[in-house]
This record gives sequence, C-alpha cells and structure tokens, in this order.
Amino acid sequence: MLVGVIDLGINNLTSVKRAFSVPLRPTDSVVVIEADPKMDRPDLIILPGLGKFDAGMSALRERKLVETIKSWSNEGSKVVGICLGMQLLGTNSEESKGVEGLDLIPSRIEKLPGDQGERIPHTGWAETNVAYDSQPFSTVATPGDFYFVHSYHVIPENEKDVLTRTPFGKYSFVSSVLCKNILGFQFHPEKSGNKGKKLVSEIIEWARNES
Amino acid sequence: MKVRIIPTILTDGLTVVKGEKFDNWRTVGSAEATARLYASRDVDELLFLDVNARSRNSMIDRTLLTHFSNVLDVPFSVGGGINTLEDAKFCFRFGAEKVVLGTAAIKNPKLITEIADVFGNQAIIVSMDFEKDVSNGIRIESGTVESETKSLEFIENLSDLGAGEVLLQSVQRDGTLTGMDFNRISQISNLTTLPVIASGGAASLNDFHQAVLSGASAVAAGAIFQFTQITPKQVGTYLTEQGIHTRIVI
Repeated sequence: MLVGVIDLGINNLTSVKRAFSVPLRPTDSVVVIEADPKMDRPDLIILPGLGKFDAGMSALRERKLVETIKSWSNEGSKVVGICLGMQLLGTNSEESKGVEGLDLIPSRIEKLPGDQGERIPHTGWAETNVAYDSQPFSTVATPGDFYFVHSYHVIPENEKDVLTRTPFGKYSFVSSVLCKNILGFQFHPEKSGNKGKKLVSEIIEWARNES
Repeated sequence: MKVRIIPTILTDGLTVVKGEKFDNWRTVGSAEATARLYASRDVDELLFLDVNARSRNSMIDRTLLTHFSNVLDVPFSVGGGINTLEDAKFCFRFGAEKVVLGTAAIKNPKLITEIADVFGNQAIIVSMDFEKDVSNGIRIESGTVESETKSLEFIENLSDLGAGEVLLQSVQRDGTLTGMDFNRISQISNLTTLPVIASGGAASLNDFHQAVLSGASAVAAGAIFQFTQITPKQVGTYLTEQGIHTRIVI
C-alpha cells in the first residue's frame, strides 16, 4: 500500500508522517507529496493541516494539488483530513469568506458558538460520540479522549456524513466525518497518545481493506 | 472543557534547567530524556520554554526541536526567542501545536497577527507577567523590565490581535514552590474569553484546584513535578475527585 502525506508547508508534517509510518507493513511505503506530483496514485492520502482555511487552500492551489487530490479520490484513493485538513475537505468556511474548499464532503465551516460558556479556541482533550453503530473505527466509539485545538468546526450538509460528535457546552460539534472514501478528524490522532495510535492503525487497515 | 495539566520544561538549549524567579539557572538533566519521560507518562500537553534564547538572540535550539519531534507523540508548545513568522513555521513543522510569544509579542504585537494570519489563532499562546494587578505594566525580558504596555489594555486586545491562549507567568514565584497567585488568575480570566494557562509557584494539589476555581483552563508547572513526589497524573486524579473534568485516559 502506498501512503501519501500532503506537505502544505504549514503543517506538523514530521509528527503526522511518523505516526502513519509506525503501523505500516514492510511492503508498504509512505511518501511526502509536494508540488504537482508525478507519482502513482496513493491508496491513502493524508491531508494534515494547521492554520487558517485560506492559507491551507492557497498552499494546495500553489502546489497544484487541488485537482490532483480530487481526481485521485475520484479514482478511489482514501483521503483523510486532519484538523484544518478536515475543514479543507469542506465546501467553504466562515474563516475565509469567498475561498472554495475541496468540496469532497459538502459542508460549511463555522466558528464554534460563543454562547456555550466555553472558551474559544477549544483546546484540550475531549470525547467522541459515534453517530451510528456499524462503522469501521472502534476507537472513536470507546471511552477515552482525543486532543483538539481549533476555533472552527465542520457542519456537513448531509447528516449521514457525520461519524462522531463532541460536546461543547450544551452544543455538540461534528468531530469526525466519513463519506465513502473520504474521512476527516477535527482532533489530532497523531497527538492523542495510545488511543490515537490505535486509531491510526485502524485508518491504515480501513484503507488497506477496501483499496 | 476539560482542564489540562501541563508540565513545563525549561531548557537552556540542550539541558533542562531549574532556576528561581527566572534566574540562577542550574542544569538538572537532559531535555530530550525529560521530554521522553513525560511523553511515556501520557501527559495532557507539554510546554518547552528556552530561557536563554533571548540572550543568545535566537529561538529554541533547532536541533533540540527536531529531536523532540522524533520522540514526542503528545501535544506540545514551544517558546523562547520566537521573533518571526519563519521561527514559528519551523516550530510547527517539527510538531509543535502552539508557539509561545512573550517579549516579542509585547514589543511587536503585529507578530501575533502575522503568525495568526497563516496558522490561525489557536496556534498562538501569548505569555504575560505583571505585578499584583492589571493596572501595572507587563513585565518583559524574563521579568526584569516593566514595559510601557498596560496589562489591562493588552489583555482586552489579545483576542483581536490573533492570540488563542494566555499563559499567565509569575517570574516572582517561578521555581519557588511557594503557591500560586490566584488573584491575578481570576483577574485575567475575567478579562478575556481566551483559555488561560496559569503558571508559577504551584506547590500542592490544592494549588491546582484553586487555580482552576479562579478561572484557569490549564495549569502549567515545573518544579513541583521535578522536585516533589507529585505527578501530573496524581493532579488529574485529585481534580477529578474535586468534581473538575479532566482528560479520560484509556
């Protein structure tokens, strides 16, 4: 299996690459994808991100990766967005009006509600509650917290794309999405201790089984 | 929101140092080994501050940072001598979730905005220190100088400037194990909607609890974890017993 980690220039590339390298088999390989890649289509594409929506999208555009990611995903590559990477999978964001996202999961990105008695950015550990039972990642359904650091959250157009929600005061935001071969996590599996490691292994197996 | 317990690692570049009131530094161990130990204990988050960066006129040692990124799978923040967008970019690339801006943020508040425009507000912690109450100026240069920036105004503008978190330091209490300044924690927490990390002087389990009751979203501490038997995990358990929500580690 070929795993490609997208390098936006503004991300925690080293941690993500390391986390996703650990559970691989000797026959698998992981490559960093930079500008306009001439390479085989990866089975699994990781889109890590840290930053503002427009900074992330312009990095993708400058690197001529917008069409590449879209066509790879159309051809069957699994795509996993992490943090800003999950938001970039959406349609547009309140953080950067007028900037188009990848639109792989129809959704709009909005600021977390300020009326919940919670401080923003949402920084720290929080649980995930699954939206439905038969889904491929047992880790997100079991007790234990993941690490979040964000001010914006994804609101999918289709309820069926919601994989988990996380409480924020009385509100709950969508903390992961899954639509066919597209997956997104608002939290950081690569920074979430043992639970995060288990999830990374599950992501790799998910990509392997269905590719 | 769940409260975070954040061990602080003060480094002079390569080794972990321990001082008092940000002075009289002595070496107490290897930074990488200390980081590794905390990571194996599954801490909520780590905070690295390079206390010499300013005098060397550079940010935290880049080699040290690349070592951290190889051993750390826990969230961490990095501070000390981050003066440019490029400095911050390097820290993020090597795994930091957040950068800490201190003196640079006070002298050049535009730096906060410049970094936030690319990396977002959630990636920036602004560290501040002042004496007694917010009517005093912010102390800079490791607490040695009182700047002309008034604490009150600065705090009120922090969110608009692009900061995502406030690290309330206390150079007066740093490394002293003499207890925390709860009055300042509650002043700051009431003036901003950003999460506040309280730091400086934590000496007992009760200090962590009182800091949280005073409004802190997180408590950072160094000496207590290095020089007493108290561990971050014990603090978490204690807070949970007091009815405070902390991380569930499975």
